[in-house]
Amino acid sequence: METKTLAEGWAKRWGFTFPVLLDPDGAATSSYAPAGVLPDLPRDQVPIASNLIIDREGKIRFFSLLDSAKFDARLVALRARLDELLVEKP
Amino acid sequence: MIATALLAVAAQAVTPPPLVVTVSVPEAVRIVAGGSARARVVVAIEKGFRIQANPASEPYLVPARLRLKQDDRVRMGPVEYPPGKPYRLHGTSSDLSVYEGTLVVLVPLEAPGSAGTGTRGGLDLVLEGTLEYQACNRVVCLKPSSAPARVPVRIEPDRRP
Repeated sequence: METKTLAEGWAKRWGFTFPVLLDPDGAATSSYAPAGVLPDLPRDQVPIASNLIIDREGKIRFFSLLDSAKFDARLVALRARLDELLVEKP
Repeated sequence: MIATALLAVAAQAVTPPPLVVTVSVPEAVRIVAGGSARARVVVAIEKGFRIQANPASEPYLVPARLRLKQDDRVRMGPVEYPPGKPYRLHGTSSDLSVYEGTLVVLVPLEAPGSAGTGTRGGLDLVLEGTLEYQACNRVVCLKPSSAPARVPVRIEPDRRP
């Protein structure tokens, strides 16, 4: 999908301050598709347009799908979960 | 600490997205040499899915785009797309412009006066290409993908005296 050049341009345009991972074969993307979520879909398709919080051990601590009927445009649920996780002791 | 990550999936990904769009041309476009016609390209989208219209409502979205290979025997004009339908994600303040169901894309074609004159019954050719799109349904967006498109064209000699 995206080339490195395109991804770099996009990151610059929108001022991303976080690392962006290029995933040429979809392996990293597939590894973050929770088991049982959209089982009929190829695993590297599942995280597209979804929201994840991944902790320091690499575990998924929050996952939400697009859900256009109840779309969380302001990421209220994700922010709430993030606040919970940030007060956890390491 | 906690990190959010953006996963950019690259083109070499091994698994193609499910096919949710098909492209067909019900009948060959007939053009008299020296004349013009418009090909009607029918795009059918699987129920429950939508694709971004052309033009897309936001610059970061992937619009539906028909790309046909040039053929020296026929000239192509700019592809004409139907207007999209408004679609609003809950909680957002603006509409997306999308296609759902079936739509028709028009391709203006023009045959030079000399086209097909070397053959008694006319000239048959096929314009090959793809329809690029990104599809979403209620819970997921698929990777940008493309569906093959074939536009059969028949150029008939101008028999006017």
